[in-house]
Amino acid sequence: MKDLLKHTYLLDVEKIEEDIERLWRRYQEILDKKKSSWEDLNEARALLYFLGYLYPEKIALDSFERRVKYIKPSIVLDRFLSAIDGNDKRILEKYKKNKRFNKLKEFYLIVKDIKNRTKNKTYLDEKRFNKIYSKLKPKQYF
Amino acid sequence: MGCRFESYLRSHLRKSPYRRFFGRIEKIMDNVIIGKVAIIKNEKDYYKIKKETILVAKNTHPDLVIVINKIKGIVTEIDNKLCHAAIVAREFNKPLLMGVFNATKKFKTGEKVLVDFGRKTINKIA
Repeated sequence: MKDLLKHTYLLDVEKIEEDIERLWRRYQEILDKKKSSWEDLNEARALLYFLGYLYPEKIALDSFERRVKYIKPSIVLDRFLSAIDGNDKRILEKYKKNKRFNKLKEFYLIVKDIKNRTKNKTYLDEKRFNKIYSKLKPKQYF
Repeated sequence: MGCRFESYLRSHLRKSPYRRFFGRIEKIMDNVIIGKVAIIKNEKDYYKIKKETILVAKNTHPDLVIVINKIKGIVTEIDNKLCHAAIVAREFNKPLLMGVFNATKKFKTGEKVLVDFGRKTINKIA
């Protein structure tokens, strides 16, 4: 997670993708284990929270807000996101050769991919996680 | 806004003596939708949507895309530009109102509401 944060500061898109995939694989590995421990499950919980909420909705969003201001000609974040998600050809054509725009777009697509990743019909395999987690939750949970 | 009423209003306004205000009125109309609410508490609720509705949820679920053609607009309790609802709304060009506190408790499925995306308000219509 620390590496991912570092690579986000550096906006090293390739490494960001690698880090995210590594975290996702670890999360899946825990869920796939036949006998996960309570400690493992809490690691999975941390990964789920980080990949599903903390990273995309806080860290990455902050990064987009900060970096979008450096794109010239200027574009606001809402317009940037709408252009990519809505495939707005006019804007995409305008920034076609803009390195900063394209790099931020690449970053956004990676973030969006993990945020919207579904497995077993739920975002980030959450249903499976919840099932295993509640099974292992100690009776004296505090 | 109701489709037939909207097209009547737009065509009427274009011809009326008030046509110089048409641009402003049209801008307001573009930001407003009226419709019946569908409260989403779990993924099964998506499959209950049969007619065009305004979806009200805490956050959305992947099954939203199955009924996206029946959704006039989306209202969520959470407010984040990268939440699922925001992404889906942008992808499918649906109007979205986020950050409505306790929206799933304030409204009931089937209730008629007016959502003003410009002013960021949602109100019941008697």
